[in-house]
Amino acid sequence: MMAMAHFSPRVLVVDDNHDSSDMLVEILRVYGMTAQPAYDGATALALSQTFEPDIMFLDLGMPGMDGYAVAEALRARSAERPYLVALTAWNDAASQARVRQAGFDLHLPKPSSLDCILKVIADNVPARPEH
Amino acid sequence: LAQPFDEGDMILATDQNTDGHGFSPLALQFLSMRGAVMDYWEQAVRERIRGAEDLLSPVLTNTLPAFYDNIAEALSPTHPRRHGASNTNSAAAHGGERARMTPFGADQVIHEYQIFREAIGMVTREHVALGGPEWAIIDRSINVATRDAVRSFTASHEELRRKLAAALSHDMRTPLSVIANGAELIGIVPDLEAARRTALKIGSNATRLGTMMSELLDALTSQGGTTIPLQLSRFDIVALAGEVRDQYCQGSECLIHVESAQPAIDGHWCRSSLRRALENLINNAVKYGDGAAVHIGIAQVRGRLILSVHNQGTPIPKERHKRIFDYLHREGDITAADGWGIGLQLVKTVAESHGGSAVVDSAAETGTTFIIDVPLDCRPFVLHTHAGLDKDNDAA
Repeated sequence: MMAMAHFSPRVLVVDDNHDSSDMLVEILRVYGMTAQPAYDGATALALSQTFEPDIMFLDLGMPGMDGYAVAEALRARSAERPYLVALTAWNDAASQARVRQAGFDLHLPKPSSLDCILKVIADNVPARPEH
Repeated sequence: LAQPFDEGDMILATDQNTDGHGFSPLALQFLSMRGAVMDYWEQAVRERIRGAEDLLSPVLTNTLPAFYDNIAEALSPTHPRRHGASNTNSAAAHGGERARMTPFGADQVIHEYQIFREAIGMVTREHVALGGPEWAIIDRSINVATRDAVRSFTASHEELRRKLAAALSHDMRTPLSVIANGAELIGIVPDLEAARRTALKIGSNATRLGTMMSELLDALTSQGGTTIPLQLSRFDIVALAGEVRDQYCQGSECLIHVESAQPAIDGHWCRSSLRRALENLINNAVKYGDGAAVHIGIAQVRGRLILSVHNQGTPIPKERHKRIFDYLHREGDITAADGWGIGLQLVKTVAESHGGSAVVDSAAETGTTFIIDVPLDCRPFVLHTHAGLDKDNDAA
């Protein structure tokens, strides 16, 4: 925690399972990050413009707009930001291929350890000197 | 043994060809051997196929007598059926029922068809003059039926395997992930109140995981297939068919006919669900029957009830036979004739809940027949029953 004291990335956690998204958001907040949950694809897409996340964790299987569609829409706007992580229970080869094709930067299978999630954030969000 | 076919013994072919339309003399001879062939087959299957010895006769018999009669039709030069498995999903239904009701593997499904061929050869040898062309038809019938049955048999197991894989690899990971993250959160959270809140979430997700495991276990032990709770009682299916017919025929000229091999056929079934299934079949038959007569056929053979509804009219395309009962679960392929599927899901569920199968046979020349093929006494095969007064009556 101390190592991250001056590191406050903005993280959007998207999962239609409220327990899932809320829990991860709460953990990230304890670590001092600015984290926000979204429970569906359309909200996630809207928040990506107002909340301006550095990194997004996206569930794939969601009713309505799924994780792939959100990633594709985001990548149509910007090829690089935010950093997109598929955090999903879908871990088969076909899903992994679709994840790459949709423009995600990384595929993390559920359940993923907290260490792993924190490392992904630390490694891929550039520290911002103004905060 | 070589008696001419007894007219009192109904023909069981899946096109409801009860009057023996188009049967050649040789085919009638072949038909007269059905009982002896089935006897030979049943005994040989019990002796040689592991797991068959403990099966009750109606389960073992399944839809094979109808298959035999279909071969008899195919042996008749003037009947349009090309081979015993053409125009019908009967063999596929057999394979599906084997998957649900027996401990058989795919090899044993193949083996029972091999014994079926042997039984025809051994039993008819002295009595029916089957030559090369006839044997070619019989072999083709059995080969196609075997492939249909095995395809359907493995599909049933494949579906179960897919459900199992999905449950283990996907559905269960989400609550597991919440539990794992929750444990981490409790370890770092600053205040007791937040820890308690997290503990509640862990608890509810653990409960959810437990429920999923129970459901998965249920799916595994019921060997696939959806069943509905039945209220079993003893009643006469011919009388029930008559009642249903009468409710469609009030006043105007009646186009619905009931034909039964016997004046009464008693058995143990669920009256209300069989009635609904029959009504669904009649509704379809009337709707698609081009205004021509609809025939309800009732026969019993070797402990099985064969309840069929036949209509003339545009046939159902062959490629839809195997899927037609799953209409409501099919996505995308909605075409003009698709009204067929409405209610058929229920028919299938009712037949399978009784420990039997639903079958379709459809061709331009012979019309369309839907068949509910179930044991006469369903009590040993019904997993879910309503608690009701009928239980006491049936105990006698």
